[in-house]
Amino acid sequence: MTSIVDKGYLAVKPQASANTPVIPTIFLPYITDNVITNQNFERDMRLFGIDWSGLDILRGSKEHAGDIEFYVDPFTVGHFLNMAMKKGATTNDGGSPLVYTHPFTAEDSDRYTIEFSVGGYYTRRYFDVRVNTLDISIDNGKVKGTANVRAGGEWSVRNLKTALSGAVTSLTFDQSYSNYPAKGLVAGDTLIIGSTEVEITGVALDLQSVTFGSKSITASAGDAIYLKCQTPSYEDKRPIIMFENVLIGAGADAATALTNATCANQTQVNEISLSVNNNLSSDPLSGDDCGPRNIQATVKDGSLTIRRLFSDISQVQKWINASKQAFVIKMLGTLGNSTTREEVRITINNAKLITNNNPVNQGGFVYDEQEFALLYDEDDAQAIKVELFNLEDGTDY
Amino acid sequence: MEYKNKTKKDLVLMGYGKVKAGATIKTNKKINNANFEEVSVKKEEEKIIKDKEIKI
Repeated sequence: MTSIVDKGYLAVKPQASANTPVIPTIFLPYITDNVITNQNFERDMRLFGIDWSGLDILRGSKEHAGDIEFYVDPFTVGHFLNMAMKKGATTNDGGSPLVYTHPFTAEDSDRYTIEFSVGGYYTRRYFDVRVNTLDISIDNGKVKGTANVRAGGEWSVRNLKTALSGAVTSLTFDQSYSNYPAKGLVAGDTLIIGSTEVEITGVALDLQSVTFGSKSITASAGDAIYLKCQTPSYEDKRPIIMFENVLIGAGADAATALTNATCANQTQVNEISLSVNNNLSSDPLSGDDCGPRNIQATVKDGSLTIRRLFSDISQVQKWINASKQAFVIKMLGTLGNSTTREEVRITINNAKLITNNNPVNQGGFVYDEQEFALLYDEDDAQAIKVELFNLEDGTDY
Repeated sequence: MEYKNKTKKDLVLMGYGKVKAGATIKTNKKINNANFEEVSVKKEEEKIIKDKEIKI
């Protein structure tokens, strides 16, 4: 049987707390991913009296990480922001329909359970997921996001511990992969064993087995059991935010930058990319062999790169003097109601030029090619803030 | 089998089309999506009886 990649999907949902996976019910359109579980296998180099390198491989600490690429739209980006930053109180504009504002600041984010369907055949579920780095860039006129995520554990395929025959109401997993092989499953999940499907009604407290309604199953010890893919469902798709609808305001401080983020006063650029890094710690923890358990932000940092036409020496002077600059980047979507647009608004409070180059490109214009360090601003008491304006009431975040 | 969109949002269920919040669809395939719940015939019958009792 062959499977088509495009039948896959990405589903996400915030967890109520750490270590409590949920069934993801929010389906997000995405471009690609390379999220994998790395068991850090290495050759078993112990001496066995032979002249060949290893009889077996040995497992190391498990790591679950990788990149997810998506186009930025006001719905999809909300969940990646919620995986990357701390959401504050949601407000709305009082219009009809309501356009909501969700503020995000640089603090520990929610943890998510996310699932990838592999060609519609089986599911890779990751839990305790947070975004390590969130990059925003431009891809052929579209605003694209790349989220590097890390997870605390995964569930995809396990093995049956003991044979089943006739009507049964539970099954036990072997411990080939983990001492807690049921960790990651929840009531309501559908498992497939052979050609039989069972819907989990309970996960044993010792995380060795699951229960389900009576089912006739014939299976042998060691048979594979895997998580069934969902039938994906999507809310109305929002238009992708386009580079041509990005307004950038610059100024000596964030308030001035916001004032300048208008058609009349904007700073126009040819290329822009932004990276926010949570520098997630993912140290392994004793007593839990599912993966790293301490996924939390350490010292956060960020950078901004801009390429724009050289117009005067003002940016060179700012680089020479290491002057503070502030930016408000308004990524505008379509009107949510008669007055308020959907929007991703990024406020950068204190940016200083690390490099400001004017490279020689024969036959072309002179450009300012700039890399800024995003720094903490003492006056505004923050380095970065993201506000998302969309039609979601925020209860899903 | 009949499934109800138990969310407060209209959803496009792939392979079935748009299903309004609270609306149901009929299918001969099992739908594995936690946004939808199977509506059992018994449950519906109970609801009808309850509705009649309320009217009386």
